[in-house]
Amino acid sequence: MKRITSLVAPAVLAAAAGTGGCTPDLSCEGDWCGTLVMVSAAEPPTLLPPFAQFDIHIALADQLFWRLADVGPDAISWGHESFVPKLAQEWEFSDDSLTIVFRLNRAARWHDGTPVTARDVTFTFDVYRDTVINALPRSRLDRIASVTERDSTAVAFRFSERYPEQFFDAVYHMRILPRHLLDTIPRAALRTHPAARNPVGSGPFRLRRWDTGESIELIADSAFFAGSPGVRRLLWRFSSDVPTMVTQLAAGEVDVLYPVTGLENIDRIKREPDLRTLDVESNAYAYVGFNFWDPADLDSPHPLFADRELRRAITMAVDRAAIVADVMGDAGVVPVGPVTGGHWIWDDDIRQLPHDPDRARTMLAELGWSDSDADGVLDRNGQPLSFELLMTSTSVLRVRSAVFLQEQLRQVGVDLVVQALEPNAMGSRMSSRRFDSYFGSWLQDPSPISIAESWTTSGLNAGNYGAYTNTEIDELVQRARSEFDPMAAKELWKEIVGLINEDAPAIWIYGGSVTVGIHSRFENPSFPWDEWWKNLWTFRATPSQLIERDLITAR
Amino acid sequence: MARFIAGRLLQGIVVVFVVVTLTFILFRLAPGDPFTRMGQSSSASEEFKAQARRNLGLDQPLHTQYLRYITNVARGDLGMSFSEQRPVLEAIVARMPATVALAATALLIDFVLGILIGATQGARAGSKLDDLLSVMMLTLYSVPVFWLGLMFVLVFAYNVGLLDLLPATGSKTTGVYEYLTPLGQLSDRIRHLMLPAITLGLVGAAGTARYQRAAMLDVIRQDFIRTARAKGLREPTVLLRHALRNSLLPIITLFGLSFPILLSGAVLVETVFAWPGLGKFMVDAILARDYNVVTGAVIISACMVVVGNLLADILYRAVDPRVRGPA
Repeated sequence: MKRITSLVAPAVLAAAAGTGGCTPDLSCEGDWCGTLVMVSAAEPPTLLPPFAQFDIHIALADQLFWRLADVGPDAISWGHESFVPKLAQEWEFSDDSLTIVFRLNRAARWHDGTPVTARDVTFTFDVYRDTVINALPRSRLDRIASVTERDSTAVAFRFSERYPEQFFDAVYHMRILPRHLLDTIPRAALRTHPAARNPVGSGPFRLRRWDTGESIELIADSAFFAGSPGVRRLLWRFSSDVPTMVTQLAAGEVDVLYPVTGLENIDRIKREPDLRTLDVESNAYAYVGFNFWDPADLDSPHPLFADRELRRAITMAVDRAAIVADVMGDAGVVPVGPVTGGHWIWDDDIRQLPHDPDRARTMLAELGWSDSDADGVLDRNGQPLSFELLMTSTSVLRVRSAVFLQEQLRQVGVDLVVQALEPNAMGSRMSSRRFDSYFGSWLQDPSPISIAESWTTSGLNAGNYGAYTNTEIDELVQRARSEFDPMAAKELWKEIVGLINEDAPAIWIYGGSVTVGIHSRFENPSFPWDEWWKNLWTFRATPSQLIERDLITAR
Repeated sequence: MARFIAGRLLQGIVVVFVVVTLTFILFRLAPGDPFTRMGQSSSASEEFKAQARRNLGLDQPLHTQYLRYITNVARGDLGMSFSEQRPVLEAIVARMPATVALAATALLIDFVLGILIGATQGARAGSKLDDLLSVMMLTLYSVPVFWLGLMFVLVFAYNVGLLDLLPATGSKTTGVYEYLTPLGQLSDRIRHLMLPAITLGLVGAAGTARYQRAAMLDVIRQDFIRTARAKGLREPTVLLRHALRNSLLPIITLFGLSFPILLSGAVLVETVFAWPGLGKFMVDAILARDYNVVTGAVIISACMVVVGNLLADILYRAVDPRVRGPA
């Protein structure tokens, strides 16, 4: 026993001290080297795009699977002129504009070498429309009547009606899947089939290894038809919380953290000589939404928020710019309405309620609210002007914003009771509409339809948790959706947002911009607002600044 | 002995059954399900969520779900993980090596350090060294394990030199590990294991030291120790060969109970250090309301408690004839 101990102990100590075999094979030479390491809090269940439920799922899947085409730099969803080719190299509309024929790029290949064909596209549409698969964007494909193969590289999308976002619906929601590998798998079994965790794609990277709970390693497809990716490897790590991810970035274990939340974390990254921060437009906005119906009796109007003037007064009492400055610093943007900063319908001249606490006090007094018992909280008929704000305890930005919100409302005599809940508990309360108000956020894609999904009658069964409706807005949405001229459509959408602002169904707190932490060796990184991950494949490490992991050549 | 083991195993099966039933029911009574959070930021409609629930059988009455689950468990099928889309057993087995490595190393640190300090204190009871170690152990015992972990992460994260020696997160150097030589891989694993294992082991050692001190004090006052000294044996021999060996009996029980406690501690430590084990998996599964994973992990954990206790009892009976009872 003593002999074994005397042999093992030095070996373990030597290994622990890192004295042997710690240098990997650094064989990468020339200009094309580099390893990009990402980190995020969630791990996808599969890498097949139809099963993606959250942004992070699709962010990873998009490195392996591509669309037929994508929105251009302006991310305009109207028409087709600004779209850029991906798997499809060209397209044309039929005379009646009800059919779009896509011609696939003949150089496009699956990672097993098989060409990407029209049959892959028809198969993909079939999968996305299948109720068994239940893909999240399924409802966005409702107006596509059929997808048929014209020849091996031509595929026709036939629509049930003509509308301005036909092209967007045809290309944006679906990532093309390999029919030759997936069509023999029963649809009900596809989600759990090994192919879902070890897929073959046609994008810039292919899957090399997946260490569950830890990381996914993708390697560049050197034969990628659109050109070699900027780096040879893309690693995606999974961590549990923001401090851990910030630590990993500061320690050089990861290269990009999107987003960095918390001013102290941003400051910490700014202090690191090898790191830099970028303020970029994002696809999210956060808001405090009001419930229009009484949580105690869902058939009755809410005792406070059914009153438009009260909502407006409370909204005007909130200094959103101060909140944004305090919780987000320079990166923060005050939303002009339920729309994110990079969105093509965003315009600074959209009508908004001003921050005017004096006017808010006057309006509340006119509504009969006064502080009769001098306790600092307004009351009417013996009822204090007090309401509950639901929020998730996991969001640092929301927790901090709520503190400021509470104080600002206190100054006009409104008592805000903050209730921080675990996300599932909050989701349960929201689904059952048992709340006065809630601190929520929405992710938007380039289509302004997402505004309708959250703030009009059509969203009552989806994201319109407060059940706010306005028939004038519903009618304007119908007009906007059928207006083919993008400029005219933008004016209509701006009018819609302005009307929503006037009704004050929510207070738009922050959004439109986030801070990204990134290692300085990467050149010209860009993060498009609609999908921040879509240009990762073009990131390139400066040859003179390569670090050890950049020089590893994937085997 | 065989009858004893069979009886304890039977008791164990009942314990596991009760624990699984309670977990199944209580977790489903908690607000939300795997799809509740989807509506908070994505455009998932109620129709979408209802379809997703139907696809997974979550629209069935609770007793139907329970009967189906228990029947499947009896066949060795723990179900599918909603969040990983693969069998729960496969997902758990994939994470077990990381958790076992962490728990075993922590256990080693816990008992080696705890016994050493506790025995030293017991042998020098009332001395300044005993007082000093008592204060240190009590302080350490009072420290929440996740706080200690966070402090380690912060200290090491702000000192790049230290980070090179002992990395603060993960179980290996991502993107480099696979390209190292076998010795390099071993070194990399050990370096990553150190901080989480020390965190978990230190807090455990503080508790073990308290037990060991008390056990040592009990033994050291007994007649056979006085006899050993009277026979002229050297003090180190008295302490090590007679006092320490006999004082280890209560520690065996503690050992049996420690493994599951370490697993629960690993839940926090794995989260802080992004260690890809069962504990972190459970935390993520609870947040995602991945029912099958949580219940499956509880089954594994309950089995470990049962086996740990059984092993402790068997060991105890083996080393102490007084507890064997009539044959």
